[in-house]
Amino acid sequence: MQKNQRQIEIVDYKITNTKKAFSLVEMLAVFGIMSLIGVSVFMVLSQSGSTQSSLTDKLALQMEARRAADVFTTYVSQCSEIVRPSLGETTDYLVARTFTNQILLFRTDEDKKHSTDKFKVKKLIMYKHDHADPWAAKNHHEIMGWVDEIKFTSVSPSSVILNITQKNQDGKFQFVTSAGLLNAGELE
Amino acid sequence: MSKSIIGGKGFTLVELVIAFFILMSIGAAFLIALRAGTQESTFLKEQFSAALLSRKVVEDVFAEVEINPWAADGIDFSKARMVDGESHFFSNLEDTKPPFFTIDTGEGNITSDCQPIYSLIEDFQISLKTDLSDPQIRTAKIALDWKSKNSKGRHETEFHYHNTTQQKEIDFPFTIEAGDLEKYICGFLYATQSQPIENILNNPTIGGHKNTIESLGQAGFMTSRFFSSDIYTDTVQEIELLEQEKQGLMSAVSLPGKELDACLKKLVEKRYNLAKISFQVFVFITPYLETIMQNNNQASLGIHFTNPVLLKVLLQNVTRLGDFFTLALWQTIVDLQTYFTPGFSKQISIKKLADNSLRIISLGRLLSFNSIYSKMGKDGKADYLKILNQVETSFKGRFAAMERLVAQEKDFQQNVSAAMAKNPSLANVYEYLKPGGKFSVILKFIKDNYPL
Repeated sequence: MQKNQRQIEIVDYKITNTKKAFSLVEMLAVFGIMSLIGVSVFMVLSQSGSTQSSLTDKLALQMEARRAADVFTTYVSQCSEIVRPSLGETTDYLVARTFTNQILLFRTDEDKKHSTDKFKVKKLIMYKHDHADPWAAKNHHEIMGWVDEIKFTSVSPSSVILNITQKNQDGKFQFVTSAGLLNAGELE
Repeated sequence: MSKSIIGGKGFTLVELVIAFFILMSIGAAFLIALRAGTQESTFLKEQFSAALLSRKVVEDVFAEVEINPWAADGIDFSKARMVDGESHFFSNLEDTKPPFFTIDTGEGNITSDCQPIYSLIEDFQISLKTDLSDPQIRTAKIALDWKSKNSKGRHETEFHYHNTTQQKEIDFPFTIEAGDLEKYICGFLYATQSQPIENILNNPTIGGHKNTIESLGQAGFMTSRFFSSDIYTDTVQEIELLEQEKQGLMSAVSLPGKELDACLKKLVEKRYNLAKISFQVFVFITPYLETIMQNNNQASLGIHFTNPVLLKVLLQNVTRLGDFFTLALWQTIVDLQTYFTPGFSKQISIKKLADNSLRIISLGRLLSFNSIYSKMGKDGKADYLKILNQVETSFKGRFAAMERLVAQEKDFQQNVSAAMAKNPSLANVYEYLKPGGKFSVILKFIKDNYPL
């Protein structure tokens, strides 16, 4: 019985205590803790977002490189002769001749779309000249953007080495490959 | 009492644990997503690089095999690093320093200065395995292995190319009408019109075995057919005119490259064509000549053994055929060597110079072991070595595959039997041309037994 009375007493006390407001110290403490948690969560979210964005950019750069490498090798495979670079030479442009005697010129130009004042990149462009027209927009093709450096080396009359470094705000990606000319035997 | 009760107003341990667990779960989910993204990015980057590097090896093998049919035999390798010049497929990739227009040994390799590609492929190892079991189609497999962050990275490529070293039948350039041979035998060997051979041979004053006389007829008929054919007479006349034109162009103060190239192209084509046909005729009549050699007696040859005037004329035509083939071959090489003339080689495309270099190597190879050329007082091996040195000088530091071909040809000159074992097609030709070969034995027989 005495025990029951004590329990009732405690209940009463609790009821009385719930009516008390939060003190300023408590409020500040809670606010501080909540702020710390909030900032941490924000930083994690923000970091993960930017990392995800960076990853997406890197993947986009690689996809661009993969597509451009395919386009480049397709163009070169239509050619019968590499005019420049000469055999044993490395240049930042490529001049090739097709079987139909068209001249393909691969060179870089400023990539204004992706460049900023502090961040400069180039784009690889190809111009097909058929001797009929000095310049025609239809013969002008953009192959890839985000180019930092590009080198063509001729180490065989039937193929050319392509060494491309791409870059975006998150870093660089470089690849080396070869593109072979169409082998048409004696046909010239 | 009241102090402890105020303290009880904070979060309970269970609440804290749950809250911590929730935060940890959210954080872990983000980390896993980030990690997966990073891994995917790395995986794609490595796979893409491996695909492009494999493509380079494929192109290089195609380029190598195109100029050197033996190249595929010795290119297998296992787990070679691709950086620091450890694999020739990834060496000398660029002309980086003077003298320009040549890539010196050790120049243009992927070294630690070449970033970011060096770091990316530093651990890559490449293997190449060729399957030579199919005589027509070769299969090559490229495998790239590298240490990836979570597992081993691997990229495999398989490709095919034609084998041009397999044995080929030597074609015969003419068709023979029924009755032509008999008409020739009766007319040329016995000065009579269309009489059956058996009747002629049954005459005891003439005699001879039908098989031997027919062999004699085949050899004589085909040889005279070649020298009297339109293709021979017309082409020889055209060659004479072209030779005059060539001499005129060569004596010009500044070489007219385009005209000279056009003239040489025709000359090479015509001379080579005649050399090829004369060789094919010689190969065709070889078994018939061997029959005559085996039956060089009164019983088999009859009147032609006792009075060999016509036999001498016929067999000397065979000697002339061998000489003609060898001279046409040599002159074709001389014409092709014109392309290396200073002042002219600069006027033609490097592709044309490379194509002509391959032609000159193919023909020079035949000259190097041609016993007829040696009988003319020439040194085929020495001349071929000069040709190889000329080609080597023209492409040094510029065309590694050509340099490797030249080095291989020099090795083959040291060990011809090894070269023939690798190339059944060439071995077939070698059996006729080599010292002590079929042509050599026949021509010696003619010289010893039926000199003019």
